[in-house]
Amino acid sequence: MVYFFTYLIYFYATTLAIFYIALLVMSYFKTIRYRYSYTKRDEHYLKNFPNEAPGISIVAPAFNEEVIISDSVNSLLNLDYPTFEVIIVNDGSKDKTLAILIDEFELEEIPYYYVYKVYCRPVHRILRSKNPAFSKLIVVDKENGGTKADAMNAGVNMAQYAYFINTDVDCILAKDTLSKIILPVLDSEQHVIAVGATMRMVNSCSIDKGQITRVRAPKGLIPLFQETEYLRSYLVAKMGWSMLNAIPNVSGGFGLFDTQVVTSAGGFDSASHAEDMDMTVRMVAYMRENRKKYKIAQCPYSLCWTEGPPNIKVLNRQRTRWGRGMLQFIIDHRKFFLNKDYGRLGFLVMPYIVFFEFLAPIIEFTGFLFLLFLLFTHQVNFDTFWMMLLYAYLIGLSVSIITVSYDLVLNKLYKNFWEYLKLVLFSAFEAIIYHPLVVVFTLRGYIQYLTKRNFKWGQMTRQGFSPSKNVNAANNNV
Amino acid sequence: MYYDFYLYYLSYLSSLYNGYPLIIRMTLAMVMLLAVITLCGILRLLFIGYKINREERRKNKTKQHFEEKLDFVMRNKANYDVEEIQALLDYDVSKVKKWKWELVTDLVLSVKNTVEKASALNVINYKNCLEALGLTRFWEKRMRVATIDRRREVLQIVGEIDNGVNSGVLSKSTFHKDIQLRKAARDLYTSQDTYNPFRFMEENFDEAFTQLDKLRLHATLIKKSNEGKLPNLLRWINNSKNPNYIIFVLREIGFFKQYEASATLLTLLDKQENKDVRAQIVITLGELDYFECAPVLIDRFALENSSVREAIIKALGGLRDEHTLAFLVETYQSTADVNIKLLVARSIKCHGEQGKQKLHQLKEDARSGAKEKEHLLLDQVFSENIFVSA
Repeated sequence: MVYFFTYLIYFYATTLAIFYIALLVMSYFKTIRYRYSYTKRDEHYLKNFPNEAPGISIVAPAFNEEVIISDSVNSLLNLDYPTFEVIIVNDGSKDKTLAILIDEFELEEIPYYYVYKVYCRPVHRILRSKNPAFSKLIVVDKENGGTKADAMNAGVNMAQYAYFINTDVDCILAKDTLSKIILPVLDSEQHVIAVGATMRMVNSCSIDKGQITRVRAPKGLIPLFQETEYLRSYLVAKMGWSMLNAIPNVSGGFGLFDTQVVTSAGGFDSASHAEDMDMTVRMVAYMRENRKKYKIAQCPYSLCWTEGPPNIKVLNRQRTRWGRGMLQFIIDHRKFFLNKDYGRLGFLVMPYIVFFEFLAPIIEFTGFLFLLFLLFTHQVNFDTFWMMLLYAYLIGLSVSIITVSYDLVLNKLYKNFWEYLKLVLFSAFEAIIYHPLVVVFTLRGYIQYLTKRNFKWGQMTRQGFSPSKNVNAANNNV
Repeated sequence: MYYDFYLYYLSYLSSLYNGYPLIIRMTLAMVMLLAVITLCGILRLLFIGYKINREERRKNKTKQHFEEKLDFVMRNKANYDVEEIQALLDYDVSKVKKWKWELVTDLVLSVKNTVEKASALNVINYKNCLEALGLTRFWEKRMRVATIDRRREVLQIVGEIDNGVNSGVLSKSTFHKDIQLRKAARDLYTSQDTYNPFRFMEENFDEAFTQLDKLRLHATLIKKSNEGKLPNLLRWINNSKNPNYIIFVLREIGFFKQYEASATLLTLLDKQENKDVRAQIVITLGELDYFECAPVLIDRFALENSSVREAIIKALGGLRDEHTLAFLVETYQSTADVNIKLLVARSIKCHGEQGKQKLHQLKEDARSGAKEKEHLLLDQVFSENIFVSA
């Protein structure tokens, strides 16, 4: 039994390492090719010929977001793209979110024939502004649905363009986001149903009027670790998977989706706690079932900055929710697993999610307990123990270092080179400080799902983007 | 060079684990591999950082040396010859370092774009600047020797320089097996060739034709139309079976207002089986204000599928006369489809005062008939004047 378990963990780690090395290689070639595929000239075409640029709807749900709503909407309205609309879904906020929106953007209720193309809780009213400066803004005021998915559906029903962006109000988008994210759609012979892009932490960045003026590596420990984790996930994993057209998940923080396909696939699942992964997989399933060719693309550039958990308490909330969502996802979509009708989804994406995302925390935690047992029973061979430990440690570290170098090659966002070295330095401690926390919180999410406890949409404590608001928010949080 | 040295330490390490199971020895190999990857990763990171800093320094230095002088020459109304510019820029092409070409090109293009935006560009001086700096020759050479990925980038830079290109240098790329490179080369050929620029446009451009190609070619056609009148684009459709390409050409016919194509377009409506192509023909006819097509479109309306019907409704919104308005009102009243009702209402509104009167009448009918939803829908169409973005 002891031997069996030891070998199981060993081969699990080795398979994971091989997977990651393969993804590193694929993402390298994909990133290089992407970099040379499009120039600034293509982006200028979109701006110079507004009638040729496909329209994009930006959908951002807001629930009790009074601290950041104003900066966030201003940031979205100032994006550099000719044809877009910003749809803010006020999901029954109990604070001043709606009042701030009405006041600041001079909103009025408009007559609107609202069609429920996908299910969502009842919509009370639609608000728009007569001020031309805010003509792109639409606010959907609806009854609280308890999940982001429900609010997203309300926004999708309202979207008038062929593609929409799924984002959060705590996200700041780069000014050229829309022209960069639409290029893979325009450049594909196949129908592109979704596009993802790299997300980073906004925590220590300087922001002025909803725009990032200076990108910095996060100062706080948790967001710093999460920055490297995000880079690994987007620049290595998703870029690598995109080479095989097998991206498992287009992030809920920022992603471009085909409105028609989302609607046809039934919209976001209001009962889901991992609505992004759920939606991606259902879109793929819809295309497979209808024998339509499709593509999910990934843009390597950093286009979205989101507020990372500033402390362990918020990290706990975030990862517990992700854990619940993961288990729910696996149970809900078990029929795709190794199902030949779903091609890559059944034989590549689902097995990867089950074995390397869902099972990883379970195997790591039981492995840790097993190690303690071996230590207590003096069954550890210390001649080889350190080597095994070093092996597991180097898998993570090497991938992190290469990821940071990919990011630097793409675009030097941090002004100071030492900030990149800071990322590398702290990634050396990630396996010791940050990763164990993530494992425990994810397992907690699994247990919560199984025991049906605490099924609320975990709310993030916002710190706000503007310095003055930070102070107020911090006081409120105390 | 240090082969024995490495072999000694490898043998030593291997001897330490002699007698251990295979799996341990395999792990040792993996650890060493990962350690090497980690070390190389750190070194690469440091090297990239150094390279970026070095490039920034060089960029600043080049900018300091050239920017003001280039701006002066390109803005100047007096024409300077190549030697004068070389003397002014204090630049000897034969002594240029390898790294400098790209930086100088970026700077020239940036200055050119700024001056062009201010409508102050002296084209003769700009072309002489390119000659004085040896940029045209450099990029033509680069086009011949660069790798496929880089060559595509080079083609785009040459396009941006916009100083003509030797078709002989391009020919290798215009028939290359790499789709992206081939398309970039064909676009550049169309944009820069003076002898037979529309050769590829007449030959279906390329079998792989995407939205981005449409955008790039649209820009090229605008450039060509600024240089002289475009030929009748309709002839390009005859040789193509690619619906994407046909739709693109139809859109361009509407954009460039080639009114002479209207009558032929109407006859094409019967010949085309693809619904998206038919929908685009209808939209183009609307854009060309071809009133003669209205009775034909009205006749076809009942038989067409939904995308063509929507196109007909939009086109009839632009073709304002009594008959089209009467047809739209009748369609509004007879359809139960809310989406069609909304489109029709918007088209009726495009008919100016008469249209608004009809809409008010329809609204009144909805109120008296207790059709609340329809009333709301018409309210929405009225409010779009005030609220919908331009």
